[in-house]
Amino acid sequence: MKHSFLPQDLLYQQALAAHESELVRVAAGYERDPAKRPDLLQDIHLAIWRSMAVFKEQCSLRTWVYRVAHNVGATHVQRNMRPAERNHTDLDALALHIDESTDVACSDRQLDFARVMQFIHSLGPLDREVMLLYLEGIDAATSSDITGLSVRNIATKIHRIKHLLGTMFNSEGNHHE
Amino acid sequence: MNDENLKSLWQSQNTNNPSSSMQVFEQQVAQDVISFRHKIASRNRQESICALIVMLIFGYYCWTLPEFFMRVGSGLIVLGSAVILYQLQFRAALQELSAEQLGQPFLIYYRSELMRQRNMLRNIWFYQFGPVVPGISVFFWGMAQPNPADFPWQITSVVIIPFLVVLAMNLNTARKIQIEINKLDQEIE
Repeated sequence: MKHSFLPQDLLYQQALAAHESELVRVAAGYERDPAKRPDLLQDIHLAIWRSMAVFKEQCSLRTWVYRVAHNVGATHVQRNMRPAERNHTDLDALALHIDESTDVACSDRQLDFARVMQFIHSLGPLDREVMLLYLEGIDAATSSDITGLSVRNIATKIHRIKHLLGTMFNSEGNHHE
Repeated sequence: MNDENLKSLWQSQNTNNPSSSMQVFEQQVAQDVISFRHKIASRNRQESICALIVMLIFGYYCWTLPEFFMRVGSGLIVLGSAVILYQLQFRAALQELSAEQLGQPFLIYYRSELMRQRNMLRNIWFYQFGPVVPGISVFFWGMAQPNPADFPWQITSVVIIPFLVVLAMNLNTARKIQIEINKLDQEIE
């Protein structure tokens, strides 16, 4: 039996066709445990489908999809963290403790990826969203539309994030030499 | 590692994109849409079941228990559960984020979400426990009849102490959420 699509369904389909891979990465950015990511991804899909009922091109489809996905991701983190985890690390206080027992068989690229992932998961919701948008190659103006932060604030945050990442990779590089 | 390497590292994640053909993709979307509708309907049903069970049990007590105050208490518990059921339906609409909210910029969305959760935690005792307190009190009073000196303190403390612990935990979490709201306000300024 052929399913008849409503306009909301068609918009959801369009959003998924264009951004499915990004959504998988958003879920990875907000859920540490790979086994739980499919559930978060399903929640993100559900939210995007629901939101399409009121999408009237207030912004581009991409901006809308990113807004919904990050809003669901941040809520997921906020609802699932234990009380002790409520104090996120902010950029000022960020001190990285990369696990030194990392599997030696991992390739450098896998190690780099694990470090980036660990860095992302240590950030608070707002810094995390800015970081994920930066990694997706979203420009500052669009990031500002998605987050509600000013372009200047986005640029400052990205600058600090890049600086911290640079420090992290340099110190890890020295550590392994 | 430079900018481009970092972005390429992130974007090269294996996302297992299953949408190999448009036909397969359409089938997947159709399945998603059906499962979304089922999920929403099932969530709405589950929220009512607990309150209905309590209403059935105490409705039965209301007719069958020999002690007058216990029957009156049971009746009040049934009424209290009906109020909770109504509140759950009403609050469920609030708990389910509106489609408009989902598409808001993060700062606006997240602040309102934190405020909603904080208010819910502060008021939960009122709408989830408050309506059954009169019924439970009268019911326990009925258990102490005909001699009020036999009031079942041990049984009541089993109900009251966990309630107070949960209340304290909720208020503490609400306080932590308020700290997050204050931090967010600093970002907005």
